[in-house]
Amino acid sequence: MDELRVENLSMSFGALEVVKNVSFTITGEERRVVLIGPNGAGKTTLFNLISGEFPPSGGSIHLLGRNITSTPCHRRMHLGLARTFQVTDLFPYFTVTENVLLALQVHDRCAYQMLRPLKSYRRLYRRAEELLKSVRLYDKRNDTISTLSHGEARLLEILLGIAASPRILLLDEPTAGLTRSEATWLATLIQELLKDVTLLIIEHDMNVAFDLAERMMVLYQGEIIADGKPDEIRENPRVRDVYLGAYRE
Amino acid sequence: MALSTLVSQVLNGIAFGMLLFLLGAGLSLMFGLMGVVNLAHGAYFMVGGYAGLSVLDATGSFLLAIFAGSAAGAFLGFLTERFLMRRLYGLRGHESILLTFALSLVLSDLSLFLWTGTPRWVGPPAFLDRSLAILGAPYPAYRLAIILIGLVIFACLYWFQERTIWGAVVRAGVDNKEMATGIGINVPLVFTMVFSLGAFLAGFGGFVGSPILGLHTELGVEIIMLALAVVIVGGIGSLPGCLATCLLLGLSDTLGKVLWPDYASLTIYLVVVIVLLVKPSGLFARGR
Amino acid sequence: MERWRPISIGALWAFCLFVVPALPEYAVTLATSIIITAIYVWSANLLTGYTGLVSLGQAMFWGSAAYVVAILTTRGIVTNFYLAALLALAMVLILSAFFGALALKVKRLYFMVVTFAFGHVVWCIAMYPIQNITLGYNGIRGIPRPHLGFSISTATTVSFYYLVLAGATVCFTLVSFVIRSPFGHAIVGIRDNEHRMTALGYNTFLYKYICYMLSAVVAGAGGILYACFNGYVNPAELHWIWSGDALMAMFIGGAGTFWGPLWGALAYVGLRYWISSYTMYWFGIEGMIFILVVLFFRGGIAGFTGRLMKGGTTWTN
Repeated sequence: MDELRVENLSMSFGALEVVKNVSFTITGEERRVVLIGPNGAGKTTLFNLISGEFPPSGGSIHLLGRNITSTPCHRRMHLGLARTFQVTDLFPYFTVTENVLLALQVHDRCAYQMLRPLKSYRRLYRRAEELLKSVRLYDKRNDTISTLSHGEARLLEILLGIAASPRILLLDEPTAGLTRSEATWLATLIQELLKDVTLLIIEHDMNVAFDLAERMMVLYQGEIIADGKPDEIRENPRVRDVYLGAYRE
Repeated sequence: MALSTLVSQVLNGIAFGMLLFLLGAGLSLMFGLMGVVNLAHGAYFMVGGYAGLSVLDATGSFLLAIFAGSAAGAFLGFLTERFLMRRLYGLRGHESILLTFALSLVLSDLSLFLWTGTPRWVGPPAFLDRSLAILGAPYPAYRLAIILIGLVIFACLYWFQERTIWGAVVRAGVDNKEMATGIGINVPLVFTMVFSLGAFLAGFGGFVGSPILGLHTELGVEIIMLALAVVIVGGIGSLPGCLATCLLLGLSDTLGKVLWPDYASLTIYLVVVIVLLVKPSGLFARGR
Repeated sequence: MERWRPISIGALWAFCLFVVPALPEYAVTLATSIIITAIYVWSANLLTGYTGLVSLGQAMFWGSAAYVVAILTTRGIVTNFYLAALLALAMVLILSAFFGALALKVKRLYFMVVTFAFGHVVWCIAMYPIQNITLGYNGIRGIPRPHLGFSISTATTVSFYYLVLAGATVCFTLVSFVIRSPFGHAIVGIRDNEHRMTALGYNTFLYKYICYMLSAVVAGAGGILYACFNGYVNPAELHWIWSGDALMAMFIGGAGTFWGPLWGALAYVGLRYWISSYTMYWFGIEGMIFILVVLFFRGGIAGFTGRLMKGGTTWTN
């Protein structure tokens, strides 16, 4: 069964066509698919369509064989999908642990529990601690978000996506704003932690992109102009044109 | 209902709508530009009316009273923006709503203190204190004048917004505050000016409306919700839309009161609720 | 700070249970009024302070419950207090289920105006069209003090105070459980970042809807007690200014905090009682106090005491 299948997906804002007839399939065996493209190509919009921020102007989206084109965003997250954001979007007045708990409790039976205190659900706290330890944020578990560095906040952002134990995780520019060494570390972390999760990653950092990718798709002006192995993409003349030499070997 | 009665009620509705426009235009702009819901806007209307009344009592000049009322409104608007709202930008929006709500309570009681609770009626200026025959029935000339004034104000605002640099500046601010600041527009100054202009119109409306609506210390509180209804029903970003909404609501309220007196103010709120459920962004909303 | 809480709650409760009834009658009456108001302010705190939904329609639930009790008991339709209270809460539940489903379709400012509009519609209806039932402007007098069964009457000031204390204990206990539950955690998340909550998989509409109804029921509970306390209800209990007062008291006390509503009710009732004995301009002064609190005492009284004790959890900006 295909993890994710997108057919003739289009999105227009008024007269502006941001996503034009995009089709691709990601199977359950694939692990790291990286989506690249110049600014304004429509990558984040594509993610927004897949995660359900708004409905497409045309086309359909299928998740694990199920047509989710008109499924509301929050329902999709219970069907094996999860997503992170390019601009870190956390809960400013909660601690690190509380942020993770929010990501966890929605998938738990206790999501609507109104009488028992949250603190009594040790299984949630244990899982949160596991997750925090895996990204070395455990020491900061009781700190509020404002005390985190940008890199740590980015880690937490990704952790919120992982916490849901999704089948397929959309990572929108996970290394945005990170230093070179932080980005490399994060890429390694992603490879280790998410061995069993299918990842669709938007990346601007070409080193990270080529490093991580098993398969690459190039989006340009709303259309996929190339789709294949990283080496093929690197050699593709159209891609080189589009990037005007942004990546040099 | 006789045709002449219907026509005069329709005219009443339009005149009321014009007064609503004086309030609604300012409120709409404040909300569109600054995301601020100014619940004290109705109080500016009322205080403007009372200030004008005091000047009228003292000098007998209707014209001077109009200036006084408008100036009072503008002054209050300036004070509100400069000392209250400015401290709150960037913070949660609903605190500004409650702050202006509190301000409206303060202004209501202040008016009660200064002008006592006895309702006052202002007589129209002598040259308008007569009736014209509309379809054989007499109709107060002053109300026709209000309709005319409303149209003139609308035309001025429209010209200002569409054809002048200042108007472009305000529109830019409404569209994108950060960019506007980025290209050198003094956004705080623009905010203060918009606030003051809106309050100026409110004060003006309060006084010129007083021969029709009367003056009492609950007026501010009563009229603000109508003005809010205008912003909600009409949406923001369109001045002609605002006018159209005001006329619509003015007519609904007036005709509603005539046809179903038991349900008095209900009609307007039913319209609000219906519009909100059908087209939440407002009937004439533009952008966003 | 959290560790002190059970002790302070216990101490306060002991004070209310043992010390207050021994005070002079006017003090007991004042305390009763404060506690009933605190219930009302808690309903606003739950909806606005914790969930972030600014509603100008809380009075609708307080007033409707009060009116239902008033109508049923003064006309002898229902003599059993418990039944009347239950029917009042049922009415509130129906109203909130209906209005909540509609109002929650819109956000923020629009939500505020819709809740105001709904509240105002209910006020208008009570004032005019069903005047024969609600007695319009004049209000309904002669609401009897509840008879609790087992020959327990609440006709005296102190006995009614105990009833209110019992009712408030139930309400506050319920609310504090909700605040600390996963549900409570989620609604604060919705307040702070609804977009992310949806992206995490929360059906935010449902959470808000449940919260809206819960807060309505709490407000209704306050209204029921008020009707029996005052013996008289009039349309002011449905008016939007009373809704606004709930919010102002909530802010003065400290929005989104545990002690906020109690401080807010204390400030509101206490100040109103004190200031009204000197001047009739209570509303203006209330407005000024609120403005000062928002400008200079962010976080309200609870925020202030929290800072004093270094480390209280408050809803600060």
